[in-house]
Amino acid sequence: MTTIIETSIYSQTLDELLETQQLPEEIVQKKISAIQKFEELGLPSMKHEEWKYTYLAKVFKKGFTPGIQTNNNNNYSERIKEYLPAISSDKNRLVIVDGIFSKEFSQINTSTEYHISSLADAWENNIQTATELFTSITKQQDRALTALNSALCQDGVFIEVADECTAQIELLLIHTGQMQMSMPRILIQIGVNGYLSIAEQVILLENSSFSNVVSEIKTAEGAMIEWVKIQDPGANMYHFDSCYVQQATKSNYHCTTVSLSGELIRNNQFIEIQGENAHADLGGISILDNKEQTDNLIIIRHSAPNTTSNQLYKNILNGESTGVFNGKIVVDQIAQKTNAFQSNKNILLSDDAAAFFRPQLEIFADDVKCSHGATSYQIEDHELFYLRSRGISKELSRSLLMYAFAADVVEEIEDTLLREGVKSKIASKLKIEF
Amino acid sequence: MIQINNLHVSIEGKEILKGLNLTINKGEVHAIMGPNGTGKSTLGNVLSGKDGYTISEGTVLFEGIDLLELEPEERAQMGLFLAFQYPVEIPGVSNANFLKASINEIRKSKDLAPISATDFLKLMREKMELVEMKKDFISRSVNVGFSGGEKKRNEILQMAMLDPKLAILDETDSGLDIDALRIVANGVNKLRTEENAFIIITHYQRLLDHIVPDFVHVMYDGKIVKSGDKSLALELEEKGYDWIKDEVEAV
Amino acid sequence: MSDQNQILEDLTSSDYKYGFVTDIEQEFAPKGLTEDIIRFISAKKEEPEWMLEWRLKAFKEWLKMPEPQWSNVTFPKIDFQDIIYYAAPVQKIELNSLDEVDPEILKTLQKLGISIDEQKRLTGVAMDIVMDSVSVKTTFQTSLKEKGIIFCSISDAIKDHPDLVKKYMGSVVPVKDNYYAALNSAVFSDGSFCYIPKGVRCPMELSTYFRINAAGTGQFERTLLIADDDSYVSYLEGCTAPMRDENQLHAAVVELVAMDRAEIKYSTVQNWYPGNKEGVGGVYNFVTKRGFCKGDSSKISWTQVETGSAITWKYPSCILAGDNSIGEFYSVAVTNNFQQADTGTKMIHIGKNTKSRIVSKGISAGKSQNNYRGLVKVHKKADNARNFSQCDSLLMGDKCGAHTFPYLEVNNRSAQVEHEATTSKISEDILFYCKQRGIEEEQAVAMIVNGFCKEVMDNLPMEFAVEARKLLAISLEGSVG
Repeated sequence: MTTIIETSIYSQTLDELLETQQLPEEIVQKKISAIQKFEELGLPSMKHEEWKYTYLAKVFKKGFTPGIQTNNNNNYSERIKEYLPAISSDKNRLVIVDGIFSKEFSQINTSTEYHISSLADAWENNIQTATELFTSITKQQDRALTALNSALCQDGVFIEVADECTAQIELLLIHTGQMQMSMPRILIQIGVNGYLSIAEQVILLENSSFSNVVSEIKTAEGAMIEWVKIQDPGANMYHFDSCYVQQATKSNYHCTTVSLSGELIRNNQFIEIQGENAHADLGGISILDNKEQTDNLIIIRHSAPNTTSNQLYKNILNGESTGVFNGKIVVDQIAQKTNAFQSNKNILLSDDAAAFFRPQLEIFADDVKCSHGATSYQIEDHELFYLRSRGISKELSRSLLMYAFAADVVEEIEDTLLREGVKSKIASKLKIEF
Repeated sequence: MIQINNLHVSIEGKEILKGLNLTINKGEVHAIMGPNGTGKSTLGNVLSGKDGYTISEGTVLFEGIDLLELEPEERAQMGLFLAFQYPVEIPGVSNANFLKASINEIRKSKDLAPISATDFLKLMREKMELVEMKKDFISRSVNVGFSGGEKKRNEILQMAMLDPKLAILDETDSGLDIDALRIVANGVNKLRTEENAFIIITHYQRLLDHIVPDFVHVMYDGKIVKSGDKSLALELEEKGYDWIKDEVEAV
Repeated sequence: MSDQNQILEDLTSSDYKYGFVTDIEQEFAPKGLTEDIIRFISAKKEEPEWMLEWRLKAFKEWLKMPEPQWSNVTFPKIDFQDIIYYAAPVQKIELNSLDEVDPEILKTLQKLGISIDEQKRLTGVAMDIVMDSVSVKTTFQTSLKEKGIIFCSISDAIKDHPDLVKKYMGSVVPVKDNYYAALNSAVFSDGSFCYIPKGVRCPMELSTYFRINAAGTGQFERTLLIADDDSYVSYLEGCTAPMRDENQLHAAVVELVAMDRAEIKYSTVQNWYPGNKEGVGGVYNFVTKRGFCKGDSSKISWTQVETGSAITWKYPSCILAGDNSIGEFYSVAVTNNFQQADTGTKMIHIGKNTKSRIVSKGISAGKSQNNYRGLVKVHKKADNARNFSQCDSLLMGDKCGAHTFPYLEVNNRSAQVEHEATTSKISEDILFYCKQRGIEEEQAVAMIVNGFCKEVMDNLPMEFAVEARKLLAISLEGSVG
């Protein structure tokens, strides 16, 4: 179930990295075992159940280089600034360029409520949490891309929110497009009743790029995280994003992914609900054209009683685009009174578009309510007629109905400004002016 | 305003309208009554251009133009409005955005510039008062989570905003409680002018207590079989439809 | 709650009622699988040379294939050399009437509640009985013959209708299709064959009863059913086996072909021995069933009630090649004790305006695992394809599992594909409501389970539905009255 690729280049990169970067011994050990794991696993072939519709080896053969990155992109400063509108001085903005934290473009407010820094700094300064958290949630590293990131990540973000405290962050993942592989790592720990909101954007400046982001998120009791990912890098971006989340009692994880372009976007969400009365809420909307593809893999494991989860993923597929949804709900025997719902809806606009969906349930507890629904359909004639009967052209009516279809997913975003921002991005993608 | 001449309409091979004639002048309110399944709603749908109907015979002239040749949005842009019996829900699209899109498309068809945001809001507030809508209504999604009564009031609000020449109300009274019925009727009465016209499709007399029609027509088996003034509606309320059926079948 | 658990515990005490062994004279092939064994089977059955060659080719393919690993079931590795591939009741003479059937076999059938006597004749069911891979008796042949219907054992068909067999055998389930299909193609010993000519509505239900009897044997039957243009047939199959503390392998292949406007209704009540309460013994039921809607406007409908077997692994499927063709799959799968079921369907939409409907009801009790696995694939050219799938699971007790693995692949924009699934336990509210109305808990549970399965049961032919309901009750005895 694996594809053999030349892996020596990756272990060489790690050797180089360990020579140039000062890392705590614990991290070094973890990195060495991660590269071994990666070499052992190889790249998953399409026979692998999690990779049935996405051929990863093909991406690896495109010639992206994993070499050590430096923050040496002065040539791109002006271009990058275009994506950084002025923000007020009390806001936090984290900018990662080609996998490396950019001090130049980032803005961090020092506060007693939270600790935010580049991951490299956190490691260099021997911050205990940053060392401990690393690979504590990805655990066995039994997925190739995760192992690869663990081995080769140089930098990223470390966020620690104190008990009863709040942090808000704007996160930009910028790729200059020089055929490099960027592998930032994001480590997050939220204290009791803490709150973190992240508005993330994936940006590609030119040409083509590959990124493999891995986040590990650990929540304490009652913690809440709201994460909005806007993925609109344009064609030629190969973006792989994996979030590993560990949820404690009464915690709340809410992540919304909006994919508007990209040659290939893979979003993994691996969520372990380990405390009672915790809730996970995941939403995704992809609006794709040409040969673009998004592949969403969601695995939510309920390991405590009285927990709930909700998944709503939608695709609007035009051209030769492909939408993949692979969602699994696992309910352990102990997790009685679990409520878990999963919904996947697709609209195909062209004869060459394709939707593949696999909503799965694995239930080992009897007192649960789990359901999933999945559909592929067209816009209903009677809906279209309603809008047209109000004088709206057929074309705009269709767009409005698609907008309605898509907006449904982002309606749950709590932050009004963020929500309206996302909605207007969707509207402009569908060429609607309000 | 509109002349319907010998209209024959079928759906999936089954003839629903079987030679319907009706002429409406501006300033008039016509009520169309009749038992279930006689083609009342079909008439509303065909006039506003819904797909799936085959028109085998007959003509419809709206302001002198052949209506049946036009797309639904073109008919709406000319000033024809249908208040739906079952309005559609559009999640994520606010009532304000929806109505703005609608007004601007209609204005575009007349080569007018889009309505300004302030004019629009002013208009919207004014008309919302007419149907006694709460303020938060502006930002709520079209018909999502609305009660039956709210949906119908929303139809009347849209009508008020778009100011049509001919409005067809398809069983707008069904499922309404007394208060909602009064609100809907008030809305219609305030919009009545010498320049516009209404077709009110209903089962019951009760809406006609509030909106007094100039003409009442009884539809049966795809045709108008009896016409009269408002007293006909009262007679129907009292005697039911059976005597009409008997009359028709006796002929 | 504890009351209910007790009731659910009790149900595991129910015993398998068909677990007796029939004491009849048997003829065996030596254990194991070699080319010689295949030659032996073929020679025993006096098969023509082409059939032997077909088998040997399949055997060579099988040797090259790896055992499948992907289903969500676990069992010890099967030793394919430790199985007897041919066992037959010894019959000295050619049978012409029922009176000549070995009285022990007749007794077996009576114990199973199957009568092949006059009574059955009146209800209009024609039967083929296969015991340990060999067709014992086919009833009603003459009256079917008048209509031009061929209904006989596959061994007879190979001899008497070689053209039909050559043309269609392996056309729906190719030899190389999967590991167990290849194995079956090499060693199948008997099974049923049916051909309905153009324009004929088969006047009675056709039925095959399968029984594994001899110890240490595998049963490898093969069924081939062809419905020519404008014909109709309803076909039933039932299965039982004795209680043995070893695992017996059943690897069957069923192929259906429906030509223009033909309709095939195929119903199964599977009650192979499921093993005992500790999970010892039971049949491994690895079956490949596939229908080919070859003609325009053809229809194939699978209905199955699966209560038996230690492990069930089967996916009755439809290839909807003809325009306007229809595929249906209705399934109830009950697992109890240590049973494992991995069952579902594949609906492959190729023709235009094709429709499919999947209704799967899984009931898990004891320590069992019940899986639904299904594929709905809409090909690029399959304009206006429609699919609706409903997969519901009911969990009884907190030690069992219910899993749903659907795959939906849509390559056509005009397709409408809809999949819904739910997992739940018996509702406390409904139980309370029933009890408040004076209904005993057991009775209430039975009502709820029956209601849960109703949509599937309603698709079974009348005589079978009664039998299936009884089986359901026995499988969940203690909680289902």
